[in-house]
Amino acid sequence: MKLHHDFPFPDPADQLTSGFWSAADRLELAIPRCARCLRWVWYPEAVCPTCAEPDPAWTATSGRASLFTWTEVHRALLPEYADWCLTSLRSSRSRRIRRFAWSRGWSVHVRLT
Amino acid sequence: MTPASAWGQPVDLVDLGGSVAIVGIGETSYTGPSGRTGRGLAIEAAERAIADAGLTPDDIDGLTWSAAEPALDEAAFREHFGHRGELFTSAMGGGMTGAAMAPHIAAQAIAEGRATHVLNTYAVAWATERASMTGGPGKGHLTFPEKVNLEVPFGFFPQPIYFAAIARRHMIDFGTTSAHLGEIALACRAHANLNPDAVMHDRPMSMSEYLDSPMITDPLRKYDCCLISDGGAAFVTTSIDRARHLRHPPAVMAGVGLGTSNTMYHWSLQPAFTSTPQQFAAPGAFAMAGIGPDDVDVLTLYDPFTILSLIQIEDMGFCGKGEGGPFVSGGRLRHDGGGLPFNTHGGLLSHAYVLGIAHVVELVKQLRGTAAAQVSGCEVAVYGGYTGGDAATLVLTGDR
Repeated sequence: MKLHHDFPFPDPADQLTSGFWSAADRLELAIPRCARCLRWVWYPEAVCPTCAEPDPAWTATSGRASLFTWTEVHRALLPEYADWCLTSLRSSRSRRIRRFAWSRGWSVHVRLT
Repeated sequence: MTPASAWGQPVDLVDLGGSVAIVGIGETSYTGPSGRTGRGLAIEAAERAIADAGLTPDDIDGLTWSAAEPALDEAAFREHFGHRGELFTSAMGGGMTGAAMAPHIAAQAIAEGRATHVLNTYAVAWATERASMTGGPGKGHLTFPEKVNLEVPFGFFPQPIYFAAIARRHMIDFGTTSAHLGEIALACRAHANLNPDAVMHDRPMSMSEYLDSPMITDPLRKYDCCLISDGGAAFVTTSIDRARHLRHPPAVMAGVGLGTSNTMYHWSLQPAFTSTPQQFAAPGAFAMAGIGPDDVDVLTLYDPFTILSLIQIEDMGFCGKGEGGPFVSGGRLRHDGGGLPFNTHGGLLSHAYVLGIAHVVELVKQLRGTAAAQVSGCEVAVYGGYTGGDAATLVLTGDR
């Protein structure tokens, strides 16, 4: 049960990724963008991999996306996810909670458009 | 060679095809939780491989293992065998991609006069370690900061979820079905049923049992996913001239190819989402060996999930991209099916999850004519090793 106590929640102090969580606090979906060549830099990097401009700036996206792929997780793969999956199974008749379960028991990939 | 593309590329390897051969193989028993350690298993496999080659531990002057799971590294080898001589060493061997690269690493050392007999080992006791979650396939992935900060919080972790997402997209793009994936699981199981060493030897499986098995990460079912096992294997590589004076017919390293992905272990970023870097590895290996996909008599693929076998079969050119589903259907993967005999020992799905080293050992048995599910007239044997960020193809042949 070692992982239960060491569960790797995101580190809000992590320099490269903290901007994502600050933007999420403002209800924005942000991705770093190079100020010089305007390319999106994902995953975050300290310098733009295309033109070497430093500090790509966290930039809000429209949030519009298309569904790319998904999986419904039927079995907890880490103990910390067990409640999520149980919620998904237990509440399948309740529309309100089911939406809640979706956000937890599913892994959904979207492509930003 | 495959032209470099935006998401990965082949790595140039020195053409050492035909210069070395695998001359000794050794295995432990393959089991669930055994209470043993990876090191203990690796030592047993090593002792057997050395003896199988007709050598003694003092004859070994080169050692390769995997940095990710160093069951038998230089210190452990010296301590157990009391070996004080010169040792060429590399931590780029072992299992996964390294099981395909180990003969080439040995060939380089032998060509440079730095070694004569090179031992490669890989072993895990992950079934034993599973209860305490101190080992296992997800462990290493928790060391990547991008995963911890941007993937795990959204539940995109670990492997069964990555590859379910890839399988779903392969289904959307190409019409691949669960029954296609089931063909791969059933071929592995049928071969395990013929192989007394396989963990699933006594467990036959029908397509309806496969389809009725519980979903783990939809569309991957329980039997799309590999075992978690204790076990290990080892092999000894030496020069072709030396090999011809040893006990067994040489399994000649005819070709090796290596490919890498620029997005490494971050599958969600991979532009060619339903491909593997095997597409960059296989052409180089086939060119070095002077063969094409049609010449292959038996194929073993690193198969943690059925979908990865299907994709690698496409990536290596056995069929076109997206044609894997129909290609694997109709029993074509069976050892006696007249198609492409595949994972004839049972693979990671039904033999044991020892990360590819047993796949190479199986090819040596096939070339010697001693495999449990023997392919008749086997002369060209190919292993595809995969780690995620890289993949490698190994072509072994009889001494032609």
